[in-house]
Amino acid sequence: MTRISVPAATIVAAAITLSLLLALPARTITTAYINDVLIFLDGAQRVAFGQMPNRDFHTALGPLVYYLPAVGLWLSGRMGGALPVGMGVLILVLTPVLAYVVTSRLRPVLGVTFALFLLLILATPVNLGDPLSSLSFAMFYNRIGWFALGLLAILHLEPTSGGKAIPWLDAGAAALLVLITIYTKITYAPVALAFVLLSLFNSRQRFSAAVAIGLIAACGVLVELVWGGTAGHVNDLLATAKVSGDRSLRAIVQAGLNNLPDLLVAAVLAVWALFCRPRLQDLLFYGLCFGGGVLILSQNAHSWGIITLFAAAAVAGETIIRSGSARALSGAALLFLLLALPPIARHTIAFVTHSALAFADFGAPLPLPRFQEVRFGRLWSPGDNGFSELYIGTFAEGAAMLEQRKPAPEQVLVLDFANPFSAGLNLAPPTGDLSWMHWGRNISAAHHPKPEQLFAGAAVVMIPKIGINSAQLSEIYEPYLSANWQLVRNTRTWKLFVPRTTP
Amino acid sequence: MAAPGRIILAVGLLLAVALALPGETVATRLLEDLFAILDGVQRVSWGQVPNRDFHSAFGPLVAYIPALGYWLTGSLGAALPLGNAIVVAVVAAVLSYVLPSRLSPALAIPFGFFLLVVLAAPLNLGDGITALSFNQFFNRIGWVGLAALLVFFLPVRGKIQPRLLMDVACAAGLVLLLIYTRATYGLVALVFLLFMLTDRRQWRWAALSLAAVVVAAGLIELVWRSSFAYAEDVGLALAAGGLLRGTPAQWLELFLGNFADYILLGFLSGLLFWRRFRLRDLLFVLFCALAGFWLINQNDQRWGIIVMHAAAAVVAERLLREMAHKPAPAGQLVNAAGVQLFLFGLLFPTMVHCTAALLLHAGTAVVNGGQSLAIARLERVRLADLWTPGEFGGSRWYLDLVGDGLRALEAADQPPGRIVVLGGPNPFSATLDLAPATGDVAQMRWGATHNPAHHIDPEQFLSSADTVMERLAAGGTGDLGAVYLPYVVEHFTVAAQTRDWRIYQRTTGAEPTIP
Repeated sequence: MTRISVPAATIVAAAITLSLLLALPARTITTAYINDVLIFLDGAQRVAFGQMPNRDFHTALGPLVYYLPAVGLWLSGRMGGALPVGMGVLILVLTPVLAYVVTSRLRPVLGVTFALFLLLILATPVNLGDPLSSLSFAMFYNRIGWFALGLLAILHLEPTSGGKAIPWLDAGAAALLVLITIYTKITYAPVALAFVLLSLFNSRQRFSAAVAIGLIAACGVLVELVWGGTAGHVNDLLATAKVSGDRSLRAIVQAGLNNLPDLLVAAVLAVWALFCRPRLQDLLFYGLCFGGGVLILSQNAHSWGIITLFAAAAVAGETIIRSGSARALSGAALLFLLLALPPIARHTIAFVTHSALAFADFGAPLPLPRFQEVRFGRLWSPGDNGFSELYIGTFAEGAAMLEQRKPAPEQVLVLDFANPFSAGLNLAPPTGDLSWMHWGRNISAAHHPKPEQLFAGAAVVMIPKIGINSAQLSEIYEPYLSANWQLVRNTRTWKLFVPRTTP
Repeated sequence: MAAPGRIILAVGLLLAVALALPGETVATRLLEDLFAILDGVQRVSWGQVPNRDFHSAFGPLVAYIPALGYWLTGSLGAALPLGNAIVVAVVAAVLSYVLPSRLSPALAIPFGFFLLVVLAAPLNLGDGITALSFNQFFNRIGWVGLAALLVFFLPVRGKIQPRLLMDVACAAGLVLLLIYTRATYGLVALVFLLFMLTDRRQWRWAALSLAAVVVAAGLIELVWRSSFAYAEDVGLALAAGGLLRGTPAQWLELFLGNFADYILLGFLSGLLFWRRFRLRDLLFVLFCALAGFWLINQNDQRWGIIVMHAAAAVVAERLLREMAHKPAPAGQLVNAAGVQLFLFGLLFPTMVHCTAALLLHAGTAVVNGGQSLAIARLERVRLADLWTPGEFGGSRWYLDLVGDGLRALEAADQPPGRIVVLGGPNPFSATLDLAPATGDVAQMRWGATHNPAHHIDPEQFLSSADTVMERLAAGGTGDLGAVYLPYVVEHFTVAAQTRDWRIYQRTTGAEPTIP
């Protein structure tokens, strides 16, 4: 038996601590983007009712985005636990991979720092770059994608002289990380695959890279056999790309400018490393970290946080130190710390805040029976002029309207950004609809499903009057509903439609 | 002069040339603030004396620096770039002595470049590269001047012969620049000098500098005769804005906005204290961290506590001296090269950011990018849309507002005379080249420097006005109107009203009181 090293033990201990602090309260504290969080609770509900992503409902996000909260829901038995417990489990699953990759490639000062940096990104429920007062699991998939990509990049390094690297483990780690990007959010996958392909150019990494590609292909086939949603997923991605697939030069420049300090410090390290060891493969690697990272960020809804830059900096630092003198050791290590310490400290504060608030039962529960532990409150941020409170406030009236109908309806479709009722009232979810409807992102006036398709698997359609983008959606779909469905309730906050009973 | 000093001076002159040579002001945002500054230029070029003939919470240099650029060129568009370029050149000369005498070359040169480019780039610190604007140039003078002064915390480097006279001249010069640019910085500078009085090795230059500042201030008062008026205006602004502006939530946001700098300064200080702890070092770092926060709290700025960078440079130099004294064993994580690189890494992003903004400004001016303003005397001010749609739209909207007012004034039967504007800066006196009003406020930031409880009385504020322009657009004048409009209604009559303005003229018989 090999003894576990101090750096590896540190990483594992940190991961377990973060995982437990996140998961144990089994409470979702949200101070921003509550509508976004509802997507994933609805997703957990769909999976719990046996639905399969892309087969039973449409989504441009990968199936893991639905299965992770479903695991959390299953383990904790409550909606409030879906996201924190799901993420806590993911952290534990990824910890051995993290500890192995980092300790086999990076010396402790770089490796432990980088591992803490990545762990905190994964564990902290804050959209990257947002103010720390905006606690939310919204867009948690981006943090998973960046984590996988950042860790994958480290495999570019050959093992340290003392490090114990095993080609089969390298291959397994690479394959797992690529698969995570593919099945979480596809925009990360091309860059992830490119990292693996790049390793084929290095004779010492060729074997493990080839095995990794084989594993990815094999898993892809296996998943298709079990899931059978690959074609549907591709179709959904194409449909979404039609709405919001454009990438303007301006968005790319903006993404670069927003991350200029990171880009510059990482570039100093990368240029220095290339100067120490000029290699085409390294040049391509840094190009991928910088270019691929900027491209991914330009598609994401967060302004800061090109995590591949930090990976590039760690790789460059290690390269410099391996090839250099004692002088280089200090400079490379301190420059890397300069880059990584501020986000580590920042995310530590946010993480601790979330945990403390979760243990302290912060905020008010969303007003639906199963959302007792899904809590919304405000920290010091100015907020959205009370819109979120108004939005949440409509849930209770909607629920009452549904409960008054006998028999209590199932398969309720909400014509808005997200559906709070399936998860909040424990109803069977509709089928054939969209996991969420974000105007301009995955649905628009030019590209949207036909009403016959959208409403085929629904027994009730609810249109909120205080919604995120219900106004735009109503413009498209309400004429059809008025003509073919029956408006049975029209209150201050909701319209309720049911299918016309055939005479 | 040794090589580092020559390099710093050359960099400063180069930056000054890049700023001044195109002779144009390019802005992508906040034209309103630009007009406020040019209004100050108009006032002093008509012979007004700041704080005597008009009130201002900012120092007299805020008017005189651009006015100097205006006097030299006769162009309002060149006023700010040239005025600022002269400040850059002067500060470069000071830095070329101060930095190499206290910092080792590997720290002095990047830190000097950093300070000079922060001073030269027409950009409010913390804004994006494309957010070109000279507004709040006085804050950059304040930060950079104070940062240069803080380097005096270090005793002169071992190899260098101390020059007491130069020390006193530079330190006193910087303190005076700060006091007469913006009092908040001057106050912190004076506290720092008092702190240095307690240093057994360095109290001499500190005492002489304090004495020099007192003497100089006395001489300035003999000519200016408005020192107390300035103090009153500053006191009024502090009373209106509060000693600490905003709410605790906003303080927290501001702290988090500068969090990376706090963490990195803390880390570097930790490295120093781990090697050798000295109470004075700790007090110095805490002083920079706290005073810096107070200063930025008094500004309209999210990021950019430049005194933290000064503290980092000082701490890095202290580390280097400790290491020279007791070299680190080979292979240790922290060595001299590493410390130098760490400071460079801390400064480098801002150096690139500000250099890019300065080049963008110069480039836009040289290629005649954007549109020159279609307003008399402002042909050499250009408004550019550098992918800043919101800002650009806002500026267009504001120009429209000014145009509307100008047309109305030109269509009026009688000449407007002295104009006072309610609800924003006065763009009219400068563009129409009219005699400015007296007793009113230049650079008023309602809510920050003045408010309903703390303001200049209407009798004085409007004493010299022949015409009052009440801004109607965008919700009107709010509680500023509530303070001043009753007086206006009593002593003035509405002469005209347009979409954006209501124009009052003094009721005949009620003659203005011009001293």
